[in-house]
Amino acid sequence: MKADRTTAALMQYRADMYMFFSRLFILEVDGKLLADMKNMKFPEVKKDTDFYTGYEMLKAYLKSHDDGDITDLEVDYARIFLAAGVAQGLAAFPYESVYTNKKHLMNQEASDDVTILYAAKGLKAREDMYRVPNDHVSLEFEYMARLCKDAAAAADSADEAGVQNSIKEQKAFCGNHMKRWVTLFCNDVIKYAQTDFYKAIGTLCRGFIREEISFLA
Amino acid sequence: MLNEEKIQSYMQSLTIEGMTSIVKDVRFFDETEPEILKADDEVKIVKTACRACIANCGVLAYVKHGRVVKLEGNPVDPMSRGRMCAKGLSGIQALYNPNRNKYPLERVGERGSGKWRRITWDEALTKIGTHLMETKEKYGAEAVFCSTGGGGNPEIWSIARFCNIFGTPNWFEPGCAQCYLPRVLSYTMMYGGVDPSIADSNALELYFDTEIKCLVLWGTDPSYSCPSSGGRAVNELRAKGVKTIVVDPRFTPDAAKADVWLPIRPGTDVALQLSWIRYIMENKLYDEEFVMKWSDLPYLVDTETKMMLRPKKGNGPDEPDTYMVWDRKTNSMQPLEYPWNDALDPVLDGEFEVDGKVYKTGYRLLWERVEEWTLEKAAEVCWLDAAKIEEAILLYTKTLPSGLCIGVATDQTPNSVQAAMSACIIDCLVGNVERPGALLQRFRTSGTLRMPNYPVPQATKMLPKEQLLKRLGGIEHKGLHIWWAGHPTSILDAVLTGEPYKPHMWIDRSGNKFGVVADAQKVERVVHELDYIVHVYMYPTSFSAYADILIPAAEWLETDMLVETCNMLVARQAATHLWEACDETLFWSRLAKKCAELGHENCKKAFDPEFMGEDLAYWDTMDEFFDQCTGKIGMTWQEVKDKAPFEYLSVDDWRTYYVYKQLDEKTGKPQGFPTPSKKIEMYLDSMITLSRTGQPYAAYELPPASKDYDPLPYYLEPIEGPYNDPELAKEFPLVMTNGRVPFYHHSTLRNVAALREMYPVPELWMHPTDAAKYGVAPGDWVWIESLRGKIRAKAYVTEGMRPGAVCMERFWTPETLNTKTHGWKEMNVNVLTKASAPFNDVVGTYTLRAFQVKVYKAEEGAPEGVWTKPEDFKTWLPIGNA
Amino acid sequence: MKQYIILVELDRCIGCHGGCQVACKTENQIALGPSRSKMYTMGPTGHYPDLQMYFMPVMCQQCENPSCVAVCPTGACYKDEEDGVIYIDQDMCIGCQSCMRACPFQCNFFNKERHVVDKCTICVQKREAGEMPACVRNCAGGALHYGDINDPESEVSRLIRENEGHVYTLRDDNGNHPSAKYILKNCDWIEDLPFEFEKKMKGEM
Repeated sequence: MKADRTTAALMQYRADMYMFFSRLFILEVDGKLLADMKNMKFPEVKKDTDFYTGYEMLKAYLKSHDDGDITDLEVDYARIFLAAGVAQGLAAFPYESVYTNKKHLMNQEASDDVTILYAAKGLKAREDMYRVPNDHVSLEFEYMARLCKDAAAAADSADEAGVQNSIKEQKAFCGNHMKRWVTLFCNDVIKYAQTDFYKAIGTLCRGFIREEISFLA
Repeated sequence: MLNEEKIQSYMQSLTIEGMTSIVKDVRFFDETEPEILKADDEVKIVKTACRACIANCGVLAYVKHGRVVKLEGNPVDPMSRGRMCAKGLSGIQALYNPNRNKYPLERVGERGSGKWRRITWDEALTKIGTHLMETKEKYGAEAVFCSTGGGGNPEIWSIARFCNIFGTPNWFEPGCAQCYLPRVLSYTMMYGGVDPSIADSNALELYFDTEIKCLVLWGTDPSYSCPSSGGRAVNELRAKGVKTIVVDPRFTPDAAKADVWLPIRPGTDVALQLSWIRYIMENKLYDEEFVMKWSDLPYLVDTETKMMLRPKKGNGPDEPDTYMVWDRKTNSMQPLEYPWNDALDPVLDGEFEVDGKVYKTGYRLLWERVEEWTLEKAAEVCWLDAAKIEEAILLYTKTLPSGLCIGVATDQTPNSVQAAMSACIIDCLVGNVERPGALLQRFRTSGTLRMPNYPVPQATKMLPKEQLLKRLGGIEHKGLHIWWAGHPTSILDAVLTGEPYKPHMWIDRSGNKFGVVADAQKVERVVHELDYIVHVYMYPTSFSAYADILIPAAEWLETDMLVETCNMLVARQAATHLWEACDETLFWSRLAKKCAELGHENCKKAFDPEFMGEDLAYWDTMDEFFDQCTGKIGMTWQEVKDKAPFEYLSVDDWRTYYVYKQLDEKTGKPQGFPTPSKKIEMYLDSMITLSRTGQPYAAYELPPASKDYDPLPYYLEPIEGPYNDPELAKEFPLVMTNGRVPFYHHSTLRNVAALREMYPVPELWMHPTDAAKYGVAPGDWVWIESLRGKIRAKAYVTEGMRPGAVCMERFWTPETLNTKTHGWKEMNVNVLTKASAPFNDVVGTYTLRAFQVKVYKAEEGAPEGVWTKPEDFKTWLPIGNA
Repeated sequence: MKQYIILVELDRCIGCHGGCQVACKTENQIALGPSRSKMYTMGPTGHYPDLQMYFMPVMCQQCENPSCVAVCPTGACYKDEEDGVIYIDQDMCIGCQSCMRACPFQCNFFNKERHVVDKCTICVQKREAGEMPACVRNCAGGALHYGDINDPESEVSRLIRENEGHVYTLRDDNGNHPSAKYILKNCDWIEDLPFEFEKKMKGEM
C-alpha cells in the first residue's frame, strides 16, 4: 500500500471500527453511548451483505428506542457475554481461547501469545476495569486498532517502510489470532442475542472481520 | 485488496458519521514500557488442598501460563496419601465452567425471569448493605436471616459471625441439625472430646499404624462419601485384617467388604443401638473398671428430678461437683470426690430408697431404658435377623480395641441426637476411649485453629441478649446453640405465617437450597414472600433463579485456607483467580465493612482489633486473617504456604493417648474428660439443664423448652412409618432413605461434565421383589411420590437394597434452570421430604429419611429437558483461558 | 520380552471412579462418552442378604495373541516388542473399527473427533517420563498396580506370587491369552465377562 493520505484515512477508519466494537464487547451500553449512537449516520452499502443487514438493523433499533432505557441492553449484554444466570453454557464468550484451545492449533495458549505481543508494544490491560483475560476480543481489537494507527501515522509521514511493517504485523495478528475465531464468535453473538441491537452488532462485526481477513490476506 | 476501487469501496462501508466522537476516548490498555516477554512454558506446582467436599485432601495443582492444567494428590498428605477422588480430580472442570458467576449480577424484571445485569462489586455491596440497614430499621435485625451449607468450599462460621455482628440471631444450615450437629453435641456433652465422624475428617486414629481390630460403620459409607481420605484409610485397614461391621440399608462398597452387614430398616437405628447396649450390659461385655471409675453410671440419680445428686459443688467451672454413690461396705449413700475413692465400694447397678425417695444409679436407669430391647425385639422393629445382630455385637465387643463410627444417616431423622448418644454410650461402655485403637481421642493440635478446619471466630459476644432470645427455634431446640444456629423450619415458617415475627431478607451462601432443604415446595413459597434475596455461590443454581443479587464466589482452586490434617499443617492456596470471584470467607468481611460505612455500629466495632480481641477484627484480605491464626505459631500465612505441608508435631508426639489420665498440674489429679463431672456422662443430666436454660452453649440464660430433654437415649419410631401410620403405609408402602454417591457432594457438581457423564440422573435403589410388586423393570423411569409431592428417578433394581426400603440421592438439573422448573422439581428427593413436626427435641431435626413413598413406572420416561447422554454435557467443558 | 500390565486387586477397589475414570480421561484427553477403562459393578450376586459384590476396572488386557492386532488392515494396531503393550498408531489407523469387533473384552473405543480407535497404553507418555500411569497414581483404594509381569522382581509379579490361588484372568474363549491379572480373595470370581455380566444385571439378557 502506498504511504499516502488515502491509506492513512483507511487505516484510521479501520482503527475506529475496531475501537467501536472493542467498546461494545467489553462493557455494557450506557446512556451516553446510546445517545451518541443515535446521532450516527451509517453509509450506503451493497445489499445482502452483513454490513447492510447490520446497519439496517442497528438503524431501526436506534430509531425505535427513544426513551434511552438501556436495561434491555444491559440484560442482553450479561446474557450474551457473561452467561449471566444461565446454567447451560450457551453464550458468546468473548475470549479467543474458548474457540481455539480445544483444537490445539497453537503450541501456546492464545492468551499467553497475545500478552507477549501486547508487552512488546508497551500495552497492558487497565486494572481499573472488570478483570478480563488478555485474549478478550476487545483487547485484541484495540491492539489491531493501534497497529492501524501506527500505519496511519506512517502513511501520513510518507513512511513506506513504516506502512509495510505495520501491515505485516496486522497480517500476522489477523492470521494467527483473529481469523481463527472472531467470525465464530460473531455467529454466537447473533445466536444468543435477544435484542436487535446486539444481533446488529454481531452481524456488523462479522461483516467487518470478513472484510478485514480478505484485506489482510 | 490492493486496487484503488476496492479500497474506496471498503472505506465507504466504514464511513460512519459520528463515529469519531464515540471512539475518541475509548481505551482499555494502559501504556507502559515495552518489554520483551518470553514464553513461559514452566509448569509451576502449587501445593494446595481440595475442597470439592469437606475433606481437605492434599493436592498438587500444576499451573502453566497461569492456567491450572492438571491435578494430582499430594503423597505427603497423611489422610489421603496422594489420592484424590472423582470430585476433586474434576476440579479443573469446576474451575473453568462457562457458567461460573463472574461478576456481581442484579436481577432485572420479575423474579425467576432469568434476566440479569452486571454491576460492580461496590454497587452490589451497597445494594445489599442498604437493604440490610433498611430491613433492620423497619423490622429489626432479626428480620434478616442468612444460611450456608456444606457444599462448595464453606467456611461455616463466617455466616454465624456476620449474623452475630449484624445483630440477627437467625441463620441456618440445611445440614446442622440434619447433619453432624447431633453428633457434635452428643459427643461433646457426653465425652467432651472429638466425635468420631470419618466423613468430617475425625477418627484420626485410623490414619497411622493403629491397633484397632474392629470398626463399626454405622450409617456411614466412606467409600462413597470420602473415597480418597476416610474411604482409603478404611480400605487399608480391611486389607490388614481389621474386621468391619456395616449398618446400612444399602449394600454399599463398605457393606460388601464388611464381615457383618446389618441392612437395617431406615429410621430404626436407635432401636438397634439400644439392643446393643442391652446385650452388652446383660452379658457383662462392658469394661467394668472404666465404667466404674471413668463414667457417671455409678452415680445416684434422684428419680423424681432425674438429676444426679450433687452434695457438693465444685469451686469454679474447672472443678467438678461431687456426686453420690451407693457404698456397698456401709450400705449407704456416700459422696465420691473426683476422681475416685478407694475406701468406697460403689454399686454399679442399683436402686435404693432413702427417706421415701427412690434413687437409682445411672447404670440402673440406662438398663431400664434398654431392657425391652432384646435381640428379638430389635430384629422385629429393625427388620433384621437376631442372630446377625448378635454376631455383630460379639464381633465388636470381643475384637478389641474396637470403635464405632456413626455417620450422617441417623442425623437425618427426628431421632438424631438419641442415635448419637447411643453410639457414644456403646463405645464408652466397652472402654473404647482414648486407648490405642479407639476412635474417641483427643490428639494434640497445632494451636492455630480454635476449631479445625473452620477458623473464623464467631464473635458471639456481639449478639445482645434480647436478640438471642429471638432466635427462631432457639428456645425449643437448645442444642442448636452449640453452633449458634437457628432452626430452618421455624425460620421458613415464620416467613410464611408472620409468627412470631416475619423475616424479610435472606442471604444464602451455598449451592442449591431447593435441592437440600426438606419440602422444597415450601422454600418456593418462602422466597416469594421475601423483600430481598442474595445468593453467594460459584454458579447459578435453582436458588439463584429467585434471587435479587448474585455474588460470584471463588472455586477452591482460587482460595486459601489453613488446614490441619492429623499432625500436619496443609495449606489450601490459590492456584489462580478468575474474573471478580471472591473468596466466600472474604465476602462477609466486605459486607460488614459496607454496613459499617452505612452506619452500623457493631459492624464498625468489628474492625477494631482492640475491641474484638480474641474474636479478631475483620480483615481486608485473607492473608490478614490467616496471619492471625499462624501468628500463634510464630509464622506468617505466606511462610506457612511456602512450607506446607509440614509436620507441626511428629506423629508420636501428636498421638497422645489416655489424655484423661494425664495429671493436671494445678490440681495434681487426672485431667479427666471435658464434661461437668470430668467423667464420661452416659447418664446425661446436662440435657435437662440444656433444655431449661440453654447452658452451657447459649451466651445468656434462656427460658425453658416446652419439656425437659431426656438424659438417656430413647427410640422414636418414624412418625410417617408403617407402624405409626399403617393406613398411610397402605398407600405409600416403601420406606425412603438417602445416601451419598462418589460423584457429588450434596447439591454441588451437577454441572461438571466428567461427573455428570458417570451419573447423569439419580437412581432409585429398589429390591427386585419390590420392583416386581410395583411393576418396575430395571432401568425404568419411575415416579416416586410422598405426601409432599412427586418426582422421577431411574430405577436401579438390585439385591443390594433391603426389601421394603428404597434409596435415592439428592439431585437438581442445571440444564433446566432456565425453565419453569428452575431445575429443582424433576428428580429432587427433597420435594418428598418432610420439614414439619415432629422434630428432634434437642436440635429440631426434621425428616429427610425414613418416610413413606410409593413407586410406580413413569410411562412418560425422563423429565423434559433433562440431559442424560455424555455428549449433552459438552457445553460445560472448560472455556479457554478465562 | 517385557510384558507390562495393569494388575487389579479387586478386594481393594471401592468403585470410586476417580483414578481409573476421571484421571485417565483427563490425562489422555478422552472426550465425553467413552473411556479407556470401564468400571464394572460385579454384583450384587446372591440373594439378599447373602450377597457378594466387587468393582472391576477393565482396560486393555495386553493379550499375548491379540485379535485386534491380527485383524488390523493397516498395521496401525501392533504389539510393541519393547514393553509388550498393544498400541494403535493414530496416524495409520483408518477408523475401520475391526479391532473393536475383534476384541473379546470390549476394551477399545472409537474416537469420533479423530476418527481413530483408542485404548489403554498403560500411559506410555507417563512411563516414558518415569511416572506412574494416571489410574495407578490416583486410585483411592490402592487397587491398581502396573509393571512387567515377566520380571520376577516387579511389584506385579510379587503380588501374583503372594496371592497364589487367587489370581484370575478374563475368560479366554479364543486363545487371546490376556496378560492382565486380577486378584480376588474375598468374593467368588465371576466367570462371565464383565460386559456380559452387566447385561445380565440390567435384565438385558
